[in-house]
Amino acid sequence: MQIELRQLRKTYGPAVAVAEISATIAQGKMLALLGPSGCGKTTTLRMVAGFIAPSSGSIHVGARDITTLPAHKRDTGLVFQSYALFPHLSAAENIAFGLRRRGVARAEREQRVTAMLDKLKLSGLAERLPRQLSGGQQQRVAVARALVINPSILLLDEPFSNLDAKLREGTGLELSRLQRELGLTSIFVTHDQSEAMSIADTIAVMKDGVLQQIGSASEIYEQPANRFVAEFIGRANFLPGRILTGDGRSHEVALDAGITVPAIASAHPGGSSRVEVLIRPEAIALTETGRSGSLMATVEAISYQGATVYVHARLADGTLVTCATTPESSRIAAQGDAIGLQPARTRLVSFPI
Amino acid sequence: MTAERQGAGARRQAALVPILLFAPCVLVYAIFFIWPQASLLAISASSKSGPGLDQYARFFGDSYYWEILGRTLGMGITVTVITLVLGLPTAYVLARSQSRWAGLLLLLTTFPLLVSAVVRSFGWMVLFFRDGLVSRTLLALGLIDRPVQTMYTMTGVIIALAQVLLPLMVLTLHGVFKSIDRDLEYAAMSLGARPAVALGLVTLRLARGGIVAGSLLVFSLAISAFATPSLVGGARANVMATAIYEQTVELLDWPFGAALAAILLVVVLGLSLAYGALIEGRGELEAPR
Ligand SMILES: Nc1ncnc2c1ncn2[C@@H]1O[C@H](COP(=O)(O)OP(=O)(O)OP(=O)(O)O)[C@@H](O)[C@H]1O
Ligand SMILES: [Mg+2]
Repeated sequence: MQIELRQLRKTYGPAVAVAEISATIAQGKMLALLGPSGCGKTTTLRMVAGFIAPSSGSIHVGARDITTLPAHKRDTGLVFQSYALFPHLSAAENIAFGLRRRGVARAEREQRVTAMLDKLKLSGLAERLPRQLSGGQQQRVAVARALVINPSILLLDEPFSNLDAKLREGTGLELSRLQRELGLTSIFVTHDQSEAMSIADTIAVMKDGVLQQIGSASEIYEQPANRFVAEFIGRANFLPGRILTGDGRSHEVALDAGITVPAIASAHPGGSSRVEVLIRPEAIALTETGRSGSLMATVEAISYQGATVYVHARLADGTLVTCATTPESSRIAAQGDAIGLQPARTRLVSFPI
Repeated sequence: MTAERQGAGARRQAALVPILLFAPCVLVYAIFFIWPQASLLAISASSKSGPGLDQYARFFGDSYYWEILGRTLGMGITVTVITLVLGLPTAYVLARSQSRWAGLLLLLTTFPLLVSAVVRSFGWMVLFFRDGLVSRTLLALGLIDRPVQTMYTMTGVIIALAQVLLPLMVLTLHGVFKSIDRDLEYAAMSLGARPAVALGLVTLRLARGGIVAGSLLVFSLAISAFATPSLVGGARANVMATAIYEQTVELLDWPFGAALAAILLVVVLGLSLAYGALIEGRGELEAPR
């Protein structure tokens, strides 16, 4: 079912936890709420779950306004950051809890619990208490418990934060497969941008309770609405410059570092002609020095990451620039070398200073 | 070879450490608790004509003493129930409150503990006498038509004991509720449990151990209380503790006093075990994590 948040706001006395969030999540899609710690992600999710009453605004699921509906009537599957498994109940009993509350008959209950245990590769662990399970297994029980009730919406609050990196990726993909298979509309809270990009259809970036940008992973990465979003998603280089020509949407910018590049305006520059141009590390190619349209720099450090090599180079004015290249292309650079940095002529975005 | 021997020596020393750390406590416990209790038992098993169970025969053969035991247990149970009924919601609300005042309120509930039993009982006297505050207020409200005397009644003793033991119940339960993650209740609600059901199935279920602990604490302190029953209850509130005092200090009948003490101890132990087993269900005494 479609979820719609309309101007949702939550304040605690003078403190604003969520300033205003509006978002629509289409049936079967997953929205990631992404932002640094304390930006109001959990608060937003808990308002949708019904644990926190919004100060203003409304929440709609399908055609229904659920803003004042108590939590137990909302029909939401929820996976908590700390899992919140009932410590006195076995894995199977934890999963059966919601079915019991719904008065599902014993035979059907057992059959659905078994099916869910199988689906999440938990068979054999049914009788274990949560404390006898590993973190990853507990996490899967928590997901199973939320899914078995066939909720109309699924809410996840950093469900992978207690897992190690390897397990996290696998579980994330598995979860997004389940979510698509069941056609569940869901909201997923995370402060990990790569997690958000890999499993969500839409990403909402938040900061200090304010929604910064909402869009697909590529929109947010390639056309960030502001500097905060640009820096929060992926790595970013910012080079200052002055607008030479152009309209409100795109222009030529003379970088202080010496070259001229085309850039798309993230916002109308207004009266100011000073801007900062976002150049992603992979939009910079390494060249020999002196090539026209390239910047002169000195290689400071090289960080080898396997598929990608990050070359950190310092411009004459002291700005540190990070370039991402392949291991082959990086061979021309060695620490201390003078080198040319050639920005791509597309995908550059300018931000008014 | 030498190194090996040294290693073995170090291990032996390491094994000694816990024993040494334990020793003082065990010693104090043995000298001041086990030994007197054992002597008490020995004394209780003596009669004029040498060792025997005459004292116990005397107790169980006399309905007067049965009455005292019954009154004591009744008082203990009533006080426990009252403190549980009053303390449980208080502790829950204080533990779940996000307010800055919650800590202060918790501190306030412990104030009665800071006042000595004698002073506290004196306070109750002022309230409970025929022309005391309680009686006059009830009269003024028209709830009674003659002055009542709560002083020197069992009711007075129960009210006074419940008041002083309530903080212990609240403190115990507060700690327990604090240790239970609120998200568990939320999880239950999101799975379709009404708030009251979530509370019962999750929070109270997990708090069982603490509820048992708090109840046993209050119960055992209530039935062994001496100052409050003797000051607020007087002769009418004759309970085991006051009876033991009477036998040993006033009548100098040590063997019988000792027998009373032993009977009280056994009954309390039995009741505690039964209550624990009853409320724990499957018998796990493990605290929830
Ligand atoms: N009960 C409360 N009273 C006062 N302020 C609160 C309360 N709950 C949350 N806040 C504040 O609201 C803001 C948002 O909190 P929230 O828990 O939603 O952050 P978050 O984005 O989930 O962060 P994290 O990634 O660390 O979990 C924080 O600044 C927090 O201090
Ligand atoms: Mg959070």
